[in-house]
Amino acid sequence: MAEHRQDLQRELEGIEAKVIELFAMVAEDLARATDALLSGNNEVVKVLAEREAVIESLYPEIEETVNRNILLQAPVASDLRFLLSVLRIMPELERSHDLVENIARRADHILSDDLSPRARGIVERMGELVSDMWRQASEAWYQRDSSAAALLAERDEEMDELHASLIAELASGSMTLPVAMEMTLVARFYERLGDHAVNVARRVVYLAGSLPPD
Amino acid sequence: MEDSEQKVVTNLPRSEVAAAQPAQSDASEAGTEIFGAKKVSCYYGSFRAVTDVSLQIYEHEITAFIGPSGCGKTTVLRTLNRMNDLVSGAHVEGDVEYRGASLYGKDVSAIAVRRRIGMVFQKPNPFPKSIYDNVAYGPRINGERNKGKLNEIVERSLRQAALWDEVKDRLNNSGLGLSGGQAQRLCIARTLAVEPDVVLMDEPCSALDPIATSAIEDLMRDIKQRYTIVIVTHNMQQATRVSDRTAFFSVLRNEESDTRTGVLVEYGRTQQIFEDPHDDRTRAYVTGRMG
Amino acid sequence: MSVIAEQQRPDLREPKGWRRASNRIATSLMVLAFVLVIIPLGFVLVTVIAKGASAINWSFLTSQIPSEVAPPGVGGIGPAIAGTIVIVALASALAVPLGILGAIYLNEYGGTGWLAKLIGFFSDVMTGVPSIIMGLFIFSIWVLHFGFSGLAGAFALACLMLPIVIRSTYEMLRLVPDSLREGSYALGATKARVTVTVVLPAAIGGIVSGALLAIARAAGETAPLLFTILTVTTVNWNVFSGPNTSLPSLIFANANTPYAGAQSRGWGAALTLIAIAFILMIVSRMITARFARFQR
Repeated sequence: MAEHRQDLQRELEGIEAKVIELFAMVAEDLARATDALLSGNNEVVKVLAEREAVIESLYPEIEETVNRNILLQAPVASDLRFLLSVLRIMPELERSHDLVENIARRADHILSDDLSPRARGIVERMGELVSDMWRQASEAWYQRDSSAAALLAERDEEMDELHASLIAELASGSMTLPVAMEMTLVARFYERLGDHAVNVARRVVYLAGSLPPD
Repeated sequence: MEDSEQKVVTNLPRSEVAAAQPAQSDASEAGTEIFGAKKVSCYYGSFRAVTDVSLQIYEHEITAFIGPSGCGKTTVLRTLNRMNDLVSGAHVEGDVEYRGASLYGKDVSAIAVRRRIGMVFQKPNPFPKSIYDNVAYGPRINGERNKGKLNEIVERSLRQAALWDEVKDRLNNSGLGLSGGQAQRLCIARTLAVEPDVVLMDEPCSALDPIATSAIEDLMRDIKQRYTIVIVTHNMQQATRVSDRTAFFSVLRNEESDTRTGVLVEYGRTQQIFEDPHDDRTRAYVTGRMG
Repeated sequence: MSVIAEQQRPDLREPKGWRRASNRIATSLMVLAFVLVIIPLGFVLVTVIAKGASAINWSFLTSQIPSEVAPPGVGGIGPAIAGTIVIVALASALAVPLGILGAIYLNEYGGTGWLAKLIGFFSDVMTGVPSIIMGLFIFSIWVLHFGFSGLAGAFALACLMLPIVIRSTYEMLRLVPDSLREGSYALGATKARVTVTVVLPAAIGGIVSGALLAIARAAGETAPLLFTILTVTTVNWNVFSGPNTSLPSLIFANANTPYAGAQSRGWGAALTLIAIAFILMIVSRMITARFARFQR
């Protein structure tokens, strides 16, 4: 039997595809940025700047499509929850990519040798953790998995601990002041990225609705 | 109607219906139970149009019945005030309780039932009498003769139906001279004039323009505090606008044996049905996919 | 205004050729048919008025019936008018209520039951029975035992009127939409209440005009009266005993004579009868119009 509203279905699938694209960009660039920071390779900044331009055009496009469909299609149930959730995670994705870009830029100002081994270790760990959290958030969105929110909240606590350790290390005076100041910012960026990942997972709870009876 | 005398009608097996039983209704924040339908099946001759419907309607709530054509929602509505009795060959299995009393019991008078449970129809049907006589009709057949009392009742009912100001100067004009929206409000006033307990509405706005529809929806919200309302509607936005609870009915079909019947699929608070329906069929219907 | 080229604009003019011609032919045929129907009606009216108008005056309408050899201008048709009035009135009093009740039973209560089917069948059959048979029927079961009287005539006319009233009332009741009945039931009315307070008032205009048409028809019947009321020349207001006369009977009798006086009185009676029927039609229209006040 034919399903109706195939035009709406296509629109929704189109929006989902673009959202997945955004998730991918954030995840990939996050890995690149951490890498750049630790290896001192600042070529990645140009790549990220180009990506930023793509996101800048994609973001209003997605927003406009969502607005139009909410207005004209009178969506309910899962359609409505999807569209509203997209609107709510767009800012999270956009700001997250900004943060990633900011992290990458610091690679310009810091030579990796400036970092103390301990600081380096923590930053590596933070990078891994945040990348993993974003992978999980992205997966949660794709699978409409509402259980991810609790798990990510726990991992965010780990992130907070790492953040605290890094700040302590920076304050210990084992690095020069300029470097320490830069790294304080970087620490904050990573911590915020973790928060955004948790926020996205929270939005997925509404998106997923109640589990269908099996 | 099915011509059940001529051909043998096979009905959908009850076991299949049972397998498709609805998710439990959410009785949270519910007041007094007004109607309790218990495994109600409605037959036209030997054709089982609706199978094993069980649900509760609560006081001072607006309950909406939604679903595709042929799913039996109007049939179920009409069993609530025994209007199906008027169709020859129609009968009901199971029971409907109204405030604890069985509506289909042996000594129950359908006339008495309909005095307490009124109905407004899809196409406005004012009598070819004056507006005054239309509204006074119910009280008159109940024995009210006092002119003063009748005047009072007519004014009160027309005010409740938000029609008084428009017709107070022409109560002796024919009821047929009103516009669609006014005529429907006249029919509502006529129903309210006998002060029923429950008002059943069978797609009351489907023949009306959006402004008249809004007027009647406002009316429904106003009178909710005095009455209990059950409304059948094709318009899902109307269900979301006015109803507290929504029951989704659908047609259960068996393609091989070519049998079908109407069933209750899901019943719950309106926000839940439309925001997060539990049953896939409900979701398919409210999102318009309905495969 | 429009820049669309001449050949792109749609051609909305009247269809040419065969379609237009056939339309004109059909219209002409219909007009012709109408004229053909009107002509004989017109002839009848004109003839009766021409031949009967001269006989009509107040004394004509009230005087006793003279012998058939009496010259024109002598006597009148008073008894015939009186007879028509009482006999038709009695026949209506019998047939109209019975017919309406019968139609109510058929439409509202009978449904598909055997009794309804039986009544319906016989009613339809009766509409086809020749009116003289009705007269003979009443003659054999009533007149032979109780003698000639206006009552017998009334019975015969009632037999004639009954199926007409049943049929027209039934059709009027069927025209009342079921939605009105449902609306009444939904307010807790019993079937009888629904019928009396909603269905009948809604159909009353048509019912009354149907009854009046049946009355007008009965007023003009001669055959059923031949064997039931015999004939008299003086007024007999007592409809229950003694023979009587009526306008159609008088016309029939006078038309069979060669005397000028009788014939002139006959034409006068014919004109009177047409006038009565005409008045009944007008009254019927007025009643329908009055009851239609609430139909719109």
